[in-house]
Amino acid sequence: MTHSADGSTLLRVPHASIVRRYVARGLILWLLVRLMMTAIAAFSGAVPVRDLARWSIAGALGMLGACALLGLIDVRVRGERTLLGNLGIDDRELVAMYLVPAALGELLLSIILPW
Amino acid sequence: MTTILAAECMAKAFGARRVLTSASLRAVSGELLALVGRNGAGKSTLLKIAAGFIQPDGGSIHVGGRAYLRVSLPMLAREGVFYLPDHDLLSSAFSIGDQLDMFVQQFGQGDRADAAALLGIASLLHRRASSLSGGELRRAEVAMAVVRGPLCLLADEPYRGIAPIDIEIITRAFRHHTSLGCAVVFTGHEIQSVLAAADRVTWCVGGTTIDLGTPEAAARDDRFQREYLGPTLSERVIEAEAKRRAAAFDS
Repeated sequence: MTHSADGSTLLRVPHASIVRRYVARGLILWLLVRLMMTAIAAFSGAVPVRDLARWSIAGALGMLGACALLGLIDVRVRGERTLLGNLGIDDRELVAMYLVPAALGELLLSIILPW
Repeated sequence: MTTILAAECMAKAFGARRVLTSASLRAVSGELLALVGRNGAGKSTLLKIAAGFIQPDGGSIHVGGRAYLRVSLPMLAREGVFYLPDHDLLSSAFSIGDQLDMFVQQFGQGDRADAAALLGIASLLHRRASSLSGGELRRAEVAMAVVRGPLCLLADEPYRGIAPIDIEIITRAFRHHTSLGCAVVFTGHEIQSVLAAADRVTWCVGGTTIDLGTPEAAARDDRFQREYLGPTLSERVIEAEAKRRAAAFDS
């Protein structure tokens, strides 16, 4: 945890057991969104077939944005907002937990896929 | 007696409908405060504002020696406030035991077994919220507050739709909290149970709040009788309060 000069919290990492649960969810969410986006791109013909296996920065940023948004929606749909609020976890920290696996996944894809 | 959390001159409108114009709330350590009022009077809205769950149009929140115009539930939770909504506190994605563990681990305090024993949910720890009855679910939710050990507990209609025995167990948990110096504020329409549990009563009426004092004083307040209790219930409440006082005197 880090505090600013006036004592307000700048960054607080939730307990590892909570992080594990939400990072696992984030990983599943990222995989599903990745597969879905690839399938949509393939079937709609919007992207040439030879480019489907290519990695792009714009695509990765879009994936991160989608995962952050869907993560927030997921928590609201599951009715966990009050639970997380009472645990002292705000939306920023929640988004970070959903983004970690998506960012790592995109990093991995940037290494193994051609640009 | 220390004021843990105070909401002063709160105003809130939903569209053209002004729910609160100048309502105040003061949560004092070691005290059970009942916030009562008719449906739509703004009790839940006031509690939600005090918990940082919704933002007010005006007024200020005082907590931890600081005044804030806007607060959020995560921020207040870190200051020791726990908000028990009238429904949907628990997730059905995790077991009750797992969710108790989250509070123990996140705040590094509380005992899961003690909280489960106090609320009578030891046999339910492996189950999920969606599989519990109304009374079991409410007791499990209060167990989260117990294991958190907050400085201030804000409970919205904790007695709604549950059996008298569950009301008694939850009241016992509230009393346990106040004995440790926690401030408890709760709302409810189960007026006999509410007045029997409370140390002080605040009446939410006409967009504002009126501090009625002790439950005995509240039960004898003419306007409160006329506009909230009604004549039949007034007599019953006064009778029950007299009996309670006599029993307390005897013991």
